[in-house]
Amino acid sequence: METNADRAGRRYRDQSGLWARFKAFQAVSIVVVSIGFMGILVLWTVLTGGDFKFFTVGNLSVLSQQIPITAIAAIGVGILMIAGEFDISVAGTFTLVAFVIAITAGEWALPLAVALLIGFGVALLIGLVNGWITCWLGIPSFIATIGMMFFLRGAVRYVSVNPETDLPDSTLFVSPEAFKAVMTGHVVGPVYAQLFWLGLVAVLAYLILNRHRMGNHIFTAGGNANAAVSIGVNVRRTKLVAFVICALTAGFAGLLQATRITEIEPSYATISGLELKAIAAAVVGGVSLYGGRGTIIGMVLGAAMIDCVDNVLVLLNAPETIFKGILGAVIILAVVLNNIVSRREVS
Amino acid sequence: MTTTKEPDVARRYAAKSWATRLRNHPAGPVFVVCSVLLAGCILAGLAFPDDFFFLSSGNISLVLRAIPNFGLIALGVGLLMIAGEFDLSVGSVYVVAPFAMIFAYVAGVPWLLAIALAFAIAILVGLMNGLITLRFGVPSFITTLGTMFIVRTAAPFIVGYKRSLVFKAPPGWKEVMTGKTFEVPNQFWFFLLFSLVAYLLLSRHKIGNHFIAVGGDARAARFAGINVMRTKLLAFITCSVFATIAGIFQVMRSGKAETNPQLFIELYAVAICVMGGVSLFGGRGTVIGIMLGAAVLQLVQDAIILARLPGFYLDMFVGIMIVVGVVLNQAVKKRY
Repeated sequence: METNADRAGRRYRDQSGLWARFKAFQAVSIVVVSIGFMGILVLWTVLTGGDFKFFTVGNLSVLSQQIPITAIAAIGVGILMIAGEFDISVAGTFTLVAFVIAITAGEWALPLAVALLIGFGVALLIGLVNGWITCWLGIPSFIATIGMMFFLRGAVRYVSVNPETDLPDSTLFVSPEAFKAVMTGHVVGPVYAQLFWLGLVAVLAYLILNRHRMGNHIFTAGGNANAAVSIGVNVRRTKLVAFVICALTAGFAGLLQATRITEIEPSYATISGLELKAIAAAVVGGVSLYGGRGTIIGMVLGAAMIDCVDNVLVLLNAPETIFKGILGAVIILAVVLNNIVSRREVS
Repeated sequence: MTTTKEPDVARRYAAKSWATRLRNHPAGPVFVVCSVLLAGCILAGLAFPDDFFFLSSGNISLVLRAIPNFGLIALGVGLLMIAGEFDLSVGSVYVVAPFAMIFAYVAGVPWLLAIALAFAIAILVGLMNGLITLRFGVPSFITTLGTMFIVRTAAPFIVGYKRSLVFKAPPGWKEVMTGKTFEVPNQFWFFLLFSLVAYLLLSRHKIGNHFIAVGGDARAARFAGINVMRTKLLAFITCSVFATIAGIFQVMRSGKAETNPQLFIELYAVAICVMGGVSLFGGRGTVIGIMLGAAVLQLVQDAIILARLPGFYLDMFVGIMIVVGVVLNQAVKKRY
């Protein structure tokens, strides 16, 4: 009969080897799945003798500009999910912040720094309102943020209405060349500056989550709110911070997209499906839907994988709706698998 | 309620003033909102008959045709919410099930069999939602977020990428389903009929009791001998079936079936239920509240269009109403 102490001892002994430590690493499944996925893509390229144009400079540069946007949004959503809450209003924040920065910098002719400040101020406000409604009024976050999503859709239409036609219209974001080069410039080969920004955000998020007290609070608040309260964690404030982080990352992703494409479409708020992609990326990356579990590397790899699937479907000329169907199936499957994995850990 | 012997129970059920009863009824707030809104629209219509033609017969029949569309979906979503779960896939079912039905009919399948096909799809989707949610312990709003996209993608994938199908229903069907009786569109009569069915199911049948018990406290329900799994599965299926009914009416009205999904119709349905006093946490809600919620949404939409206000007001209104509605529901619940 194995006692609990034996079991704990075995558990720690087992972690001594390199392989055992790799196995115990939380993001292990997503790392393995990503390597497998890459392997399939390489094999596919080799077997078709180059007809499958995934590993070309052109395609990889598309990916290196697309993945950071999804991944940065996914990091925010993932941290919030670790804290035990959801945000469905990410696509709205993303679009509204892009519009606000473009309008304040363009139409109002304010200095870029002030425009950025106003844009991120809007994101901050959205995060605070989401957090306040959820934590202080006690509404489930996915309903509160659905409300926010509708509100932001209305707000995006409001700021994007063209006075001549009375219809929502796209806006140009004209930024100085130097700013553009720093944000989205071409570095070398398929590498664009966005990748470095993703790296920066990921490292910052890692430091907050795993090397700062706030990260501990986020994990406990999401894992077991009652326990968190009894050890003196201010759960409301912790969750509020997580909501703000989520809104700020969504706004930053919006800024990157606006700088790259320069023309911002109001329809991003409705049809881009960014909130779904971000949640899917986090779930695929091993973040628990119930909070308290997740890694930054998992979120980034999850986002990369989802964008790669999208990219492969485009390369195969598949109808675009299929991507969303796959996304739906992937979310359900990942949640089921996460449940099984976490159950195994407990027992 | 008649007299009872226990004094406190008797006091609880003693005759109260209508104001107290209205305040304590789950549908009380929405009734007030709906009445005020209706009165405001009628007054505005009387004051500015040329600009704000709310009272024109065309507008009235437009509103009466529009209410059943969202209202029927909201009835199903509301019953499921009372049982403690969500369904975000109703928007896809609403589009896809009738499309499959028309696709089969145009391909030569008999009409009644085609209708049966639509309901078979609804039951299948309901079962899928329910089994994934209940067997694997996935939160229902994540499950149905997934199935929303799966259903939306799968159907046009199977039946081919045709954007829309024009059809001619067998004689009689269109007249019965979309005609007018006593100057009121038949859809509205059907909506009342289905609301009555939902009411009987929820408040006059055992299964309704089970819905409320399971949504209010699943553990307690299990101890009381209720099969939680079966009850929730039934609620999921009911929800999909109502969405299909709404979709069939929509298809009959427009005379063509489209695969183009209606964006966010599921969220409007949730908004209607929340406005109508259905608790987000399950166990509380009334059919009359859902009906009034649907009326409020359409009245606001109509008023915005008639007043020539920009469309974003509707989105903002819905967003704010969801949050305000939940807060109000919580406040009412706390008073108990």
